[in-house]
Amino acid sequence: MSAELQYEIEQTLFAEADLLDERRFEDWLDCFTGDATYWMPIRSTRGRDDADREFTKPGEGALFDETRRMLEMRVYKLETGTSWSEDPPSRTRHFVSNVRIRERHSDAEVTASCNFFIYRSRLDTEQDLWVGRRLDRLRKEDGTWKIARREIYLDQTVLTAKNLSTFF
Amino acid sequence: MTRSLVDTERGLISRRIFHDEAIYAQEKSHIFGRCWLFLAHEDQIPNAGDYITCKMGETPVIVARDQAGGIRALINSCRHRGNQVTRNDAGTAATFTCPYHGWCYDLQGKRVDPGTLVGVPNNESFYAGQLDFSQWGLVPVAQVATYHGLVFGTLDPQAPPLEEYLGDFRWFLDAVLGRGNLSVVPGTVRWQIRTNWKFAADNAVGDNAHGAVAHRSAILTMAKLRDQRAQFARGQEPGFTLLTEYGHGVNCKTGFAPPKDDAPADGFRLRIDPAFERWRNDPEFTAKLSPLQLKIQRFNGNVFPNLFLIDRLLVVRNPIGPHLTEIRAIALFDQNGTPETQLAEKRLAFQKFGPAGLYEQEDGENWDQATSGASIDPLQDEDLNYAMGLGSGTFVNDGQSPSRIDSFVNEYGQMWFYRFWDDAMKAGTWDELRRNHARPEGTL
Repeated sequence: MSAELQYEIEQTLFAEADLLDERRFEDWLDCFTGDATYWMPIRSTRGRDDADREFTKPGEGALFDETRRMLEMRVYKLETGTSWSEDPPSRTRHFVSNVRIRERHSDAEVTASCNFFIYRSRLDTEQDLWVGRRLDRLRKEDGTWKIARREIYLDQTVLTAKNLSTFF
Repeated sequence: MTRSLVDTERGLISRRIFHDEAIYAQEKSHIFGRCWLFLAHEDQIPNAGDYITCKMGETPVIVARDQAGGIRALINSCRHRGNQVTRNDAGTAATFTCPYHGWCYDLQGKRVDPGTLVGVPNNESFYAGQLDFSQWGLVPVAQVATYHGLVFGTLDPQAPPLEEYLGDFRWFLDAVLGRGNLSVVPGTVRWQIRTNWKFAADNAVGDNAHGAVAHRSAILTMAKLRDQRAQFARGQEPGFTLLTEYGHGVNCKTGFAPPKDDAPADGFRLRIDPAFERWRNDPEFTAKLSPLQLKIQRFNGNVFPNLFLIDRLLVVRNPIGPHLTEIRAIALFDQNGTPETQLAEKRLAFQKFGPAGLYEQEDGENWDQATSGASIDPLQDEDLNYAMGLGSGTFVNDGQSPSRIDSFVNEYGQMWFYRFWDDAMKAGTWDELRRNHARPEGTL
């Protein structure tokens, strides 16, 4: 695994996180491929003997199971002027760390894992924290790394946030 | 407190009921300690020893399938020190062993009743064999029963049977829970909102006025997805409000739009909508229903106190104190659908409603804000206005359905919910409540 590739992937993920915190959602959509998928399974507390059922599987219930088009729709929703859960907008900060390239499918396609820590400050004193792990499959298109699939694994089972109107 | 909390004559509800600690303490005994509460769908626990855990109000409960195929509900609290005997959300087990001192309880009922204490470490030497196992089993939920696969329980042995409790509301449940061959989508979604549980419940039981405002962005988004212009109803829409004894209610829209099968190439979301309508082509099912049941298109309803029904979702809003509510949502899908529509229904079950739901995101924001507003000190005697349509909601009993009011957008459901809430809070026992509660007759 080259240091250069590691650097490129990290910088791609860091820049993408900044776009969210800067509320540049249209630009954020450009970080995804046209066929991108975005998936957050549902987690539950299970015994160690039952660990393979901790997360729902692809094709089962999910908190997000989105195509690129649905991501565009969610951005459109934010911009309608009546998306009250984000209008006035939340203040978010995305921290992305522990980036590791897990698999190199080809010179132009890799899967990277990272940890994330997202802070949301809302209205006066509302605060939410989302911590978890992501698996991002990235594909190089016209010299630029784009996200082709994002899997988001939250650490909470019962979400203590009143909604998930934030992108991960 | 001399002012009434629920003024049915004028459609006024006191802000106090949404934050007052003493009122909440009474709700725990008079509402959540007494009513039939939704626990699970039986398909979540298909085999002997399968269990899920959930809450009845704040009471932790285990719901399990026994060897004989029956469903048991036990309070999840060891009789020795009170610990939860399982801390899993779901699983399969023959027994539960408390992690503190090892008291062990049967779950499947092979040789003894489920919940029976079957083992205590070193029983002979520590207790000299004097511990009477038959007296120290997990405490069962007083009554458990199912309807259309929905498992309900009540902590009150005096509660009337579930069939009586659901009463005429079964007319609606028959119309929507028999649609196709429904089973449970894997995955239980849970999240917390800083709201009093009743703001969520009164939204469920009949708030059709908030959609065009609160969910405007979602309506615009769904229309854009379909490359259509968003349609916002002006004034009333065709439909009715069904209100039945013991506080249950539902708004049903009756305009029927035929399902579209012409989903655009990337319109994955759109394939789920025709899936909801497949049952309409099933004569085996449609033959059982009355013309009005068949006309029901969209609905939002509430089984008192806290089971919200919309689309194919079963959503419980459980209080954790007066200011915090934990929501638990499961979804159903039609096993008679094509493999593609079944997959779409499962994957997109929580895309409209759920914490990330295009619609429900705004509900969380609004109920949080309403709960803050309810506790504003100088406004404690300024009641909230639930008077929409008040005085003109006449119950129709024409044989087409049980007690309904022919109106879709109104606040009859909310007032109906609070009337029974008030009846239940005032009644000392179930017998008293059975005698003294609002009946669906006359005019609201």
